[in-house]
Amino acid sequence: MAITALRTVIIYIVIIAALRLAGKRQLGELQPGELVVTLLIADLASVPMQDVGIPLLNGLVPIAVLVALELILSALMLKWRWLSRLVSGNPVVIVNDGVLDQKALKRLRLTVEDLMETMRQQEVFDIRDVQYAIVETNGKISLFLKPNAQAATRADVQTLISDKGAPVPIVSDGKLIDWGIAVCGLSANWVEDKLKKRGCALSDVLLMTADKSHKVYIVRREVSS
Amino acid sequence: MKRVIAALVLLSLVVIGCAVSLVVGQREFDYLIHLAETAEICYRNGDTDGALAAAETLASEYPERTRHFALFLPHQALTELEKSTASLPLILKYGEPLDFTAEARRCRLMLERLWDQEQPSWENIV
Repeated sequence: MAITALRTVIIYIVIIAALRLAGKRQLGELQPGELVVTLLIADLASVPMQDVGIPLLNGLVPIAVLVALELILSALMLKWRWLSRLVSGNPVVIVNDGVLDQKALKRLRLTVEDLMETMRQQEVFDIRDVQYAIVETNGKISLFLKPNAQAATRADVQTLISDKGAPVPIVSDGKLIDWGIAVCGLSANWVEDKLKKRGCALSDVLLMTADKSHKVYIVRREVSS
Repeated sequence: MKRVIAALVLLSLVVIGCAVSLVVGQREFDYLIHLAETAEICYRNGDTDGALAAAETLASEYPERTRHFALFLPHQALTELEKSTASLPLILKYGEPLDFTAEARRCRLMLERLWDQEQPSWENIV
């Protein structure tokens, strides 16, 4: 039993490392090849985890090879556009200026219901409002609405607003968040000074956010009774 | 670019690992097969002492020489072979003559078969 547990720990670490190496794209929007690799990794890992009679390397070597090939293929696809088209395909326009391309729909084996469902999920109910509907290489459908169907933006109504940027965390659970401090153009010393002025120690802060105008918001840690 | 380098390093490690396992495995299995064959031939030629010496060497050296093979060879096959090699000297001392010849041959064939399965030949790949 201890062997099974230890093998599981090793495989878990290897999978985390493999997915980390494969990159964030792997975890987000999967291309066909990436989906295949992810499924294969899951399957390969489970076999030596369950059966101690199978050498651990029989599961780890294929995972290493798959991740390495996937990374090399990604790099080659960046270099050669034709390879990218060959492996991932091209985006396909299925609605052009409100007109449905039935041939494209048939070729992609998509039904009108699939399209309508995606439209509804994006709060579009009339196909005539759609300028373009594009089936992306990862299978998702992107919609671009006609100008008169698009919601008005602040620029459209010419409202001037100052760009303060969104508030980002700069202290979380008593620890400085480097990337947040960098985004706001602040420094660790500035944050500590600010806290000192408010009579608050860094370790007492549960959350501290700031925006580009250096406006801060502090949530202190509750003192447990 | 760093990830591509990591991928190339990973692939190189796998290739090196495969090459090393094939070279070391070939050497060790050749030696073990030779011992099983020697035991079998000596016994057939009436050299019981020679057969016993070869069988005992095989039984004692098998676990050490195949220690690292558990990393990539099926554990069940290795255990089966260990049982077979360990039983050879005992069969020679206390068993029937025909049993020793049969077991020595079985042991040699199992060693040959196991190593054959590891060869990167077209037949094994497909």
